[in-house]
Amino acid sequence: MLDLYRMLPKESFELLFRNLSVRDYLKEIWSRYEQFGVIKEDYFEEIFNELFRFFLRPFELVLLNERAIRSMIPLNEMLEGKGVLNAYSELMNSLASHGLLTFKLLSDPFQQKTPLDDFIEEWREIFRNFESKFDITLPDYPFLLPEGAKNYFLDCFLHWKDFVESYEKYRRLLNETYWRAVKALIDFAERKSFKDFSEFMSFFQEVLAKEFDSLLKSEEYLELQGRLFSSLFDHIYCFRRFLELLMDNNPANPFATVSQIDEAYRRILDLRRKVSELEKRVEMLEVELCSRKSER
Amino acid sequence: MLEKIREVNVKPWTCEFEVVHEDWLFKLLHFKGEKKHRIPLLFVYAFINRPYVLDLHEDVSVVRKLIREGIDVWMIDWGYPKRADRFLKIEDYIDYIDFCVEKIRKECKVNSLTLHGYCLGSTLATIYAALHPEKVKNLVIQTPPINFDTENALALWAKHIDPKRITRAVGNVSGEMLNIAFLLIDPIRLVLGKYQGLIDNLEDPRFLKEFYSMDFWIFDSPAVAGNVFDEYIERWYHRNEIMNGKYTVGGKPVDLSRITMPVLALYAEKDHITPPSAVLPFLEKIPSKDKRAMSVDKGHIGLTVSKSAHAKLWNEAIKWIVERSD
Repeated sequence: MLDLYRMLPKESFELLFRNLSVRDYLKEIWSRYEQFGVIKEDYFEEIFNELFRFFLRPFELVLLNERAIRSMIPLNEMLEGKGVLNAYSELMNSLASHGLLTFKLLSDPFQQKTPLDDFIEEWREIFRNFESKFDITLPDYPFLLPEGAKNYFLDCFLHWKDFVESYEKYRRLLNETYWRAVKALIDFAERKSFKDFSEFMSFFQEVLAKEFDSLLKSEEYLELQGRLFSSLFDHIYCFRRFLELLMDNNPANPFATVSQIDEAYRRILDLRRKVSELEKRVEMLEVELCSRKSER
Repeated sequence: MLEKIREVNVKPWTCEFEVVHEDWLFKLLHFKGEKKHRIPLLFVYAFINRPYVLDLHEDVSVVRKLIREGIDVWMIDWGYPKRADRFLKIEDYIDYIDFCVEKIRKECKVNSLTLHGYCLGSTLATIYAALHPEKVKNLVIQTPPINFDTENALALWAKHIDPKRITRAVGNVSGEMLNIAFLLIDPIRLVLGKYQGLIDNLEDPRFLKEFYSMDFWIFDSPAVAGNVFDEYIERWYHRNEIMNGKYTVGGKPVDLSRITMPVLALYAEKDHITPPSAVLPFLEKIPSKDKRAMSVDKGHIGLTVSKSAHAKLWNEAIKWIVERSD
């Protein structure tokens, strides 16, 4: 298996193995059909997953990207963290009051300030400092972003929302189309019979191909696929630009961004074109000079 | 059950060649063989996939067939664009064709040569022929997309995407993205039918060799440079500029009325990438007096690699080329 994985193009390897699974499911469906004379819906969803995993996985990989974004900019977690901190602070305050009263009762009730007062006061100060820093950081976060980055950040999430909605519709559209073909297969099997597995397979492929040929040219599909791609690539672009602007804004950042490197590539190519044009002109001038000399 | 696949040995390029020029990404290849005809032939390959499909294995090698007939064969290999090549333009491809044509003209001491385009290479070859008709003796276009206003799924998809939003996000359009797109155009036949056929033939070494020769080629996909992708989708698919007479290269108009040289169009009846309607209106439009179309009842790739196409169409096509190569 490892040899095949190493040897074959990765797409070839994956499609072969997915089709082996599809074959197993179809054999199982066929054996039940031979036994009971009907085709049931069992295993068809698994076949859909095997067939379309190859196409859907890239989108689902991008869906994982959301987790990366949220872990890098954990706004929700920061807000949730503040709640925990407040609850903890209240608990500490009540513990402190309780401790203070008990200490006063057990020691000298007339003493103005106890060692516990100092201890509690010290910790309250530390806690206040921490809390106040946290309070300043959190509302300030939107103002910390460099100019431009804020809009890319907001757009990144808008495109993300559009992408997730489009992807859900896209997956549903493919699945519904697939199930229309499965229903046609089941209906056919109720009316007529397949003479062997090969005929059953051919019919299944034929009804699937018919449904998908029509889907892939439909206005609904074209519009949805266009929106899916636009929102996905806009999301990627906005996220990258947001990160690039954060990097640009950090004087300690030692790396060039992709956009900066792209600009360098663009200039190098322009210069290559100019050099090539100059070389052509020099060559033409040389030919002209040679012919003038020979004329003399 | 899968043991026999491990024994498959796929080696593309069956004919010997020399890399005679290399410019960053692009290469000019010259095939070895006995020259019996004066006019050389330059293959202009597409900037999608790799050129060795024309020399995939001995039984279906177009290059081998041409060499056997005594044609001096040259080929352009566009390489594997990287991020650094993102800003290449179609104009750069046309310039390199011109560089190669000049080099071959000098080396072979001829004024003009046969330009043979494959798929999108046909589009480039046609543009070149319109810009420099004096340097093109014969124009051969194989599965050519020249009229982009067609109703096949690929054309409809291309018309419904905004290429600039893709390339500004990812730079180049990667081979993996293209692979997924080309399979998704016909998912049932290409993902289910084809591989179920493979499962039925896992014990047949000959089938396996042919299947994997194709599969290695199909998934050996270079990226398309970002700018080239933008131009290809916007100017060719969205605006059909070549057919509408609006296309320019470096400010020079690409005028199809200048295509007066002999033209041979090879197309496939069942082509889902470049259907017959992508070439037939072009043939009607050009003023060439010596123009011919040959077709085969196959798909886009079947025209190049099917045995039936080699048994019939290619013999006739090569005869047509040979007759115009002295």
